[in-house]
Amino acid sequence: MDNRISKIEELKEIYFNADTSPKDKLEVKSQLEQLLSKEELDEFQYELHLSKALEEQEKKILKQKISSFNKDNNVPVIIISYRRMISIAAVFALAAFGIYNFAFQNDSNVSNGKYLALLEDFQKESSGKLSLRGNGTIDNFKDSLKTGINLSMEGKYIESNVILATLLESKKRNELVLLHLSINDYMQENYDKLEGRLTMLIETDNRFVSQESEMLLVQLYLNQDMDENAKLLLKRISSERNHKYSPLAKEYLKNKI
Amino acid sequence: MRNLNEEENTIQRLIVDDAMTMRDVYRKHKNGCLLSLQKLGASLSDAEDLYQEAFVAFIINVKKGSFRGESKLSTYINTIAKYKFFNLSKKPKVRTDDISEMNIAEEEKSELMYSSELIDELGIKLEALDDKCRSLLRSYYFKGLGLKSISTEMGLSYDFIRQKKKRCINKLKGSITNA
Repeated sequence: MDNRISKIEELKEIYFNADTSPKDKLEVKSQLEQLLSKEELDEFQYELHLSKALEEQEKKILKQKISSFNKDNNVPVIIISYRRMISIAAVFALAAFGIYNFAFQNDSNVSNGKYLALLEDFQKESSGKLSLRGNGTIDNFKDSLKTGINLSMEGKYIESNVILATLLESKKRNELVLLHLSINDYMQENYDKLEGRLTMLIETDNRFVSQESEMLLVQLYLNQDMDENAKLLLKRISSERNHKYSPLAKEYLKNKI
Repeated sequence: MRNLNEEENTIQRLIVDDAMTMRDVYRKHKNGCLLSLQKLGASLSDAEDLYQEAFVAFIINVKKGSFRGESKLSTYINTIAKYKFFNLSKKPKVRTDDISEMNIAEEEKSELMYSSELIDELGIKLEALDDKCRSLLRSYYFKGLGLKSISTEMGLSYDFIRQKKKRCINKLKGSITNA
């Protein structure tokens, strides 16, 4: 790569980097504008718009979230008559009976219970593996990851997320961190980014991570009523003889999810 | 000191998209910001819209890493809202020596240099792009991670990521030309 192109790439990287202040960005931009040909300048303008378009996408999602905060604020107060209260209570009692039957007799829920048990086993295994090291060896990364996983197993997802997010910033061995963050998001029903993350993780060469991510993605699809996507993935998992979740995938398919 | 640590924790939670924290921060700072905007002359309805926009900009800056807790959250959100109000009412901006405030002022100014048609078009085409490309472009152009960091994060070589980014942009351009 010749020096000029390499210089341009370097300047662009500084411009788009999160650590560069807006003031420095302006300086870098003016340097680029002097260096770039007309065609290259168009290319840079295109990249600027791309950056802005990505930001706008993020804003759109945030605005949807915020409007739900505003709705939560305005809970209407309804005066309910005594007779209506009795009829509502009766409906709740019937619904509770139905839910009880559904939860304990539905095959899909049995499979789901099995999955949650296996997921917990995975967390325990991950945490256990992180304890394995030579005598007296200090590894802050492993210790923090272990604490993050243990907090998640205790149901302290927010505390766990804080630790895992800090680890992610250090950008080391992050596949496992991303997976445990994804597990936390799944447990908190925070599904926004989950599909993207898991789709990336299932491509990894680390079977320990990819197999777990595949099954977590199945659960995500099932919870979002994307049954066709779940079926495709379950078929793939069930066809792999050595896949940890192959028997469970067959069970899900048998129960027609 | 305790407040500072609490705010650092809040920022970490916002980075990982913790919905409860986001809702709490939104509610906590809303009234104070509305009040300061009304003091500047904004109507209640404008102040509510401006607060929402400022809050979105604040979260975006947290996610992009542009805000890392250099000032108090309330000060930061109020300053963004104030600059949005100045832009709306075309009032002259207050000169300031505060670094974080100067950054906000520059960011607000730079909003004006984009073509909204191209941004809308890119938004649609980004949705159609495959997950890997979208994630790579998002890391580079939105989160502001360098190619080296992305390559380490994805466990791939620097050169591969550099080439992949080019291919993704070409794919995006191709899909726009063919549309």
